[in-house]
Parts: sequence; C-alpha cells; structure tokens
Amino acid sequence: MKIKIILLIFFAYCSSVYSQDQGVSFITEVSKKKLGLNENVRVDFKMNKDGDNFEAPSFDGFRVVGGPNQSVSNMWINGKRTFSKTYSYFITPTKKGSYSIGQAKIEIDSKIYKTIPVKITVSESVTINKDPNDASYVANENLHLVAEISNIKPYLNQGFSVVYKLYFSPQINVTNVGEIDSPEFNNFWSNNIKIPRLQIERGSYKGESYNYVIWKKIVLYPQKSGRLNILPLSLDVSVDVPTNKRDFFGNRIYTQVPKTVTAGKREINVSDLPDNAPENFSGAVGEFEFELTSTKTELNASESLQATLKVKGKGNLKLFSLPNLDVPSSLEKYDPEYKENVKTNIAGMSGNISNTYTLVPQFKGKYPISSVEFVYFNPKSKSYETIFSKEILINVLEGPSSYSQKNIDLKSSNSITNEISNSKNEFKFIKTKAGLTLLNKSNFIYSITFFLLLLFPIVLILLILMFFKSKKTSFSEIKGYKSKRANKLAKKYLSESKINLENKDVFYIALEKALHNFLKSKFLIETSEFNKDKIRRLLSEKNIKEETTELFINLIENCEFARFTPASDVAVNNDYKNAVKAISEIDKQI
Amino acid sequence: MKKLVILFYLMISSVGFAQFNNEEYFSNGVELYNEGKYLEAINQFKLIIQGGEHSEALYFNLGNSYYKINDIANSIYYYEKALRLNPKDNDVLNNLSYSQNMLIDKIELLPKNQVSEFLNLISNALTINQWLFIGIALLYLFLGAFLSYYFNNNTIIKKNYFSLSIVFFILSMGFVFNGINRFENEKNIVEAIIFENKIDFRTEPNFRSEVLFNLHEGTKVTVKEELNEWTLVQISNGNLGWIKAQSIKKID
Repeated sequence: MKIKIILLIFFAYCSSVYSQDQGVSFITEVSKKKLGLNENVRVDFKMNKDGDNFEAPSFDGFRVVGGPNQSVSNMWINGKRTFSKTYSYFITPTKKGSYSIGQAKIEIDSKIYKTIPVKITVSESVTINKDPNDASYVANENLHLVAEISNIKPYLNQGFSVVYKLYFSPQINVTNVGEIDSPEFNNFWSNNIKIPRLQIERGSYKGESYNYVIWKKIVLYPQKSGRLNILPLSLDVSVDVPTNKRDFFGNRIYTQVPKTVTAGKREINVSDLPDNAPENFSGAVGEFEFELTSTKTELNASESLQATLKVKGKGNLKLFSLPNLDVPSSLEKYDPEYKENVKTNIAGMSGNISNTYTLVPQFKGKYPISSVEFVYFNPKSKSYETIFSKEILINVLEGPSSYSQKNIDLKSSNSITNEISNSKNEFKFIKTKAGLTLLNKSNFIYSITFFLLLLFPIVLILLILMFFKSKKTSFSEIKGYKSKRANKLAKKYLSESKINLENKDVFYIALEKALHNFLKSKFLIETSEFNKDKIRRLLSEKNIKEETTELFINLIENCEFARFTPASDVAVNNDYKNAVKAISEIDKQI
Repeated sequence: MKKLVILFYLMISSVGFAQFNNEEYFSNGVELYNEGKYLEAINQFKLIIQGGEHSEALYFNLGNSYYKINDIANSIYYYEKALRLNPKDNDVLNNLSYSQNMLIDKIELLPKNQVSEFLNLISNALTINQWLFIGIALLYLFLGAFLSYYFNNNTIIKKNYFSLSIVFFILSMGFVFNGINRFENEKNIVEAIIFENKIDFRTEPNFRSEVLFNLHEGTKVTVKEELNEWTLVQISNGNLGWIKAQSIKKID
C-alpha cells in the first residue's frame, strides 16, 4: 500500500517535471468573472507555444458576439524568446446564473493540452456607469454602427442595398477599425461594392450632428421568399476619448478605449412574386427594355446575318436567362454569343445583356422571325409586364429553292438540272384559270354509276351464259331424238336379216337389200346406179365421215363375198352390229 | 381604269345589288392579288367557296395570298387542300416549299421501307378515279373478249379470246381494287394543320398531364383519335400527343 502511494507520487512528480521542461502553458483568461446581463466579457485562450487544432469550448449560457480573433506575439528579450498566441472571443450572457467556460483543447507537439474551466457569475443587468468621465461610457455613447437597408420588404429577386455606417461624434476619434465578424448573406445574391478610401462625412444621428464613415456597401438580391436574416457585422474599434487631463502644453490627453460595435441582426421580409406569372416569365425583376435587331434583312442564301436579343435596364440582369429566339428551321441557327455589360452600384445592377445569334439561310424565300416575348416583373407597378419585340422579315434574294433541292436529292445523278431548276423554281404566280367545280361533288367511287358500270358486264355475261345454256340443252334433245329414230330405222331395215341370223346365205341377201333400201330412202337413188364408187362419192358429198363410209362399203363388200364363200357365225353377228352402227351414224351425220 | 371597274364591282357587290358569279370573283381575286391587295384577294377567293365551288387553282391562289401576308398556317393549309385535288401539281409543290421554309419546326421523317415505298409510288402514279376508270374500261374489254370467245366456232380463235378475256378480267379487278384500297386508306387518314403559334403536346387529354414537346404553327399532323375538345395527333416522325382540337384545322 505504501509502495503504491510512493509510486504515484513519483509519477506525478515526473510528469510535472516533464511539462515544466517543455514550458507549455495553455490557460483561459477572462476580462471579468462577475458581470451584468447586459455586459460583454472577453475570453482569451493563451498558449506559449504554437499549436494546432484549437477547439473552443461550447459557451453554454453565452452567445458569441465576436471572435475568434487570433493574435500572435513573438518577443526576444535579452536573447530569450517569449512566444504567445491568443484566441479571443467576446461573449455575452443570455441568462442570469453561474456558468463555467469549459475546457478548450489544443494540440502542441502532438500532445493535447486542455485549459482549466473558469467560473463566471452573471448577475442582473447593471446600469452602465453614466459617469461622463468614464472613457468606456463616453465611447459607448458616441460610437454607433448602423445598417441602413434601402428596402426591408423587397420582392423576390428585387435588389436592395445594405450600407453600414459607423457614426462617431466629433468629440472622439476613431483610430483603428477592424472587422471582427463579417455578415453572411445566405439566400441572397450579394455584391460587395468596394469603397476605395474611407471618407469621413458629416451627418446626423438621432438629431445630433455626427461624423460618419461608410464602412461597407452591399447590394443584395433575395433568392428565396420569406423571412431572411442578415447576420450582424461587428467591428473592433479603438476609440480615443478625451480626458479632463491636459498635458504640459495644455492639450487634452486622450485615453484609448477598445470597443466592439455591432449592427444588430436584421430581418428582411421577402415577398413572393404574384402567382399570376405569365408562361414565359424567367425571373427578371426590375425595369427593362427589350429589343430584337438584325444586321441585315435582305441577303443571299449562305450569307450570314446576326440577330440580337437585348435586354436593357435596371434589375437582376445577371440572374435570369434571355428568352429563346425561334427561327424557321430552314435558317441555320448557331449557338448564341452571350454578352454582358452590367454595372453594379448602390442602386443595383444596370446595363444590358444580349444574345447574338448567327443565322445562315439555306434557300431562297422569306423568313419571318416572329416577335419574341420578354416578361418581367416590375416592382414599381407590382405587376408583370410583357414586351414584344418587333417582327423581322428576312428576304433571301438569291439562292437555290428548297423544292429544287428536294428534286435534286431525288435524282441526285443529274446535277445539270440544278442550274435550270433554279430559274424554274421561283415563287409561282397565282393561277388565272379558275376551273371551278362543285364543292360537294360526290365521289365517283361507291356511286350508283360506279356500281352499274362495274356490274353491267358481269350481269350481261351471266345472262348470256344462262340463255345459251338452255338453248344448247334443247339442241341436244333434238339430237337424241334423231339418233333414236335412226336406230329405229336401222332396226326396221335390218329386222329381216336379224331373223335370219342363223342362216347366213339368207342373212347376207337380206342385209344387202336392207342397205340398198336405206340408201334409196335416204338419198333417193336408183338401185341400177348402185355401185361402190358411186356410194362413196355420194356419202362424201353429204359430209359423212370417212370411217363411216368405209364401214358401209365394207359391209356391202362382205355381202358380196358371203354369197361365194362360207362365213363363220362370229362374222355374221359382227356384220349385223356394224350395219346397225353404220346406218345410225349416217343417219346422224346427215 | 381596271381598278375603277373593280372598285365599282366591289361597291355593287357590297351593296348586294348584283350577285356575282364565282368566275368573276375569281378574276377579281387575281386582279387584287396582282395589285398587292392580298387581304381583299383572299376575301374574293373565299366568296367562291361560300358559293359552293372550289378548284385546285382556287386553293393555290389562297395559299399564295396567305404566303404574301406571312400567314404560314393558312398558306400551308390551302396548298395542302390544292394537293388533295391534284397531288402532283408542280406549282403547288414549289410554292408549298416556300411556305414550309417559314416553319419553325423541323421534323425528321421516319425512314421508309423500300418495298412499301415502291408500292406506294405505283399506287400514287394515278389518281383514285383514274384507277377506277381504267379498271372499268378493262372490264368492258373483258366483256368483248368473252363474247368473242363464246360466239366463235373456230377453236384457235376461241382459245385466244378466252386467254385474252382472263387477262383483261384480272387486270380490271386489280385496277378497281387498287382504287378502292387507296380510297379506303385515305379516308382513314385525317390530316390537319396547326394554327396556334405554339402548342404543347400532352400525354393525356387534360391540362394536368405532362407536356411532351411543343410545335409551332403550320406543321402538318395526322389526327388519330378524338375525345371531347381534345385530339390525339401524330407528327411525321411518329410521335403522338394530345392537343386542343381548336388549335388545328383539318384538311378535308
């Protein structure tokens, strides 16, 4: 147990020795430990060696009104270097009570050092010492920072200015002015107007005559509607306050008092633009003039011209886009060249912006460039205003016509036609021959005439087919009757020979007789004239077919042969059939 | 002198003493156009349409008059009407190309199938009525050939006439059906011209819907569907969109 305590003491000693060797100190200093609610306190974090990654404590119960400011001093006294670096804050309490300022951290030589917390007691607001002999009081009373806002209820995108003026009464002198806290302008487009040299001017503050300096001029264009805050600007000022003491020569002795002045936080109420915004409104707010100009209105194809859209006036010139120029598609349009000639002064932006388009016509003809609409909001009249540019008509005098171009594209092989068709494809004059027809002339298609014309031949053919078909059938009926009669006739003639089919001698005699009778009755010829040659001639005269004739002649020959030669039963039957056939054929063919 | 005469005529006509006939309106219109009084010429030409007559020349002249006063939509509208009556008139096509130069929109055409392009070329070589007339004429040739075939006894002649009649019949039907086909196709295609300076094409037939693209006056569109006061139209690159029916004028 004892050993443990000894060891602990030993280590504690060692570490203190070590830190003493390094000589690092990191401390918190406050200007006062007791203060009123309406007073400020300055907190310094001092170190004697340069460090990194400074981390301030959270000032609970306080609000930071200034800082952090960094100051570094490096001194050599008798060959000994004294270094000090200070981060200082100005804080003001928000509530009564006792608060402690927490630990600040710093990294020196890759070791982290922390400060010891400091207690501060905040009491009731104290009445500021009104002793006119107190320098701080005098300084307070005679020094004012004022933010002058030209319009605290602007429209969205309507410019306004903020001018910070530092008023000081002629009694005191201001020597050293430094900005502690620059205001931030979130949700604003801001432009700081440079002040080349601070000039003291005379003015009045709350009815008293004061000197003032314009410290800062800013032009703001709100980008968001609603309540927007402008964060305060704090200045650190050294004020020379005269004292009652006088020096040897009788001049007043001045004491210097450091002072922080703040122009309080200001709230801007940005109102939205009215709802009834026209379609082409692109956010321009101000007072503008708008025009469309063209370098030429008459030119030849493939020459170029410049058309310029220009907006001139006062307003948020840099913050909106120019309207587009719509040109006929047969004019070749190149991307516009944007030009800006805008000056920003305390009254806002003024000047002009323009878009210059290069246009190259391809074909002969005229090209109207329709008027372009520019819509802006005029905060003075509180209404949207529209300017129409004038319409420009571009005449292209010489060049190919687009119709001949189309034709050339079609028959690209024939390039000679180009020249000729150019002269042919002027804009044609109107036609002088009316050739009027009735407006409501019905279509030929599906009209009664159309159907009649279409159906007539088909119906006609059908009728003809039907009519002649019936006629043909009656013909064939006559034919059938005829052949029946011929068969009957043949059978009648051959009836006798048919009976004698068994007796061939009698059969052939009867057959020959029958054939003769047939010819006699058909052609009215005498039996005496009956021979084969004559029969042949006769039959051919009557247009009887060769084979039928031959069949007939054969039969007659067979009859003659049969008288002298024996014949078989088969031949007899055959001859009978042939006879029937020959007679009926001849009868048919006559 | 002529001016005086026309003035006199105009006075009379305005008072309504004499009914002009349409031919006179036409020649008045031509005169007025030639003097550069395009608006008055348009009035004269329009009286003819009110009188119930029209012609390709009339529409062409109206198109020209509107071109002269830089009215793109009307000028293209009347040229297209003239082309309806005669799709091949070079004067109309030529002047239409001048009007189309003034168009703000340039729409890429859809690439076409070569076969269908070729078929179209054939189908468009004649007008519908020409197709029909030739078809009917061929039908009568078929009738003649068929009758010759039917009442001839000579076998060889019969044979020739028969094949001839079949050829005529097939050709005739081909011509007539092509004419009918064209008519039916064209009946379904309703074209229109945009008359509004700038118009938004929307996804749905109401103002809440999204705007797809916008077009300017004078562009030709094809009407696809209609719903109340809205029309679904197609532009030549195949894109579709709903627009207010009042902002277009159909070419009929």
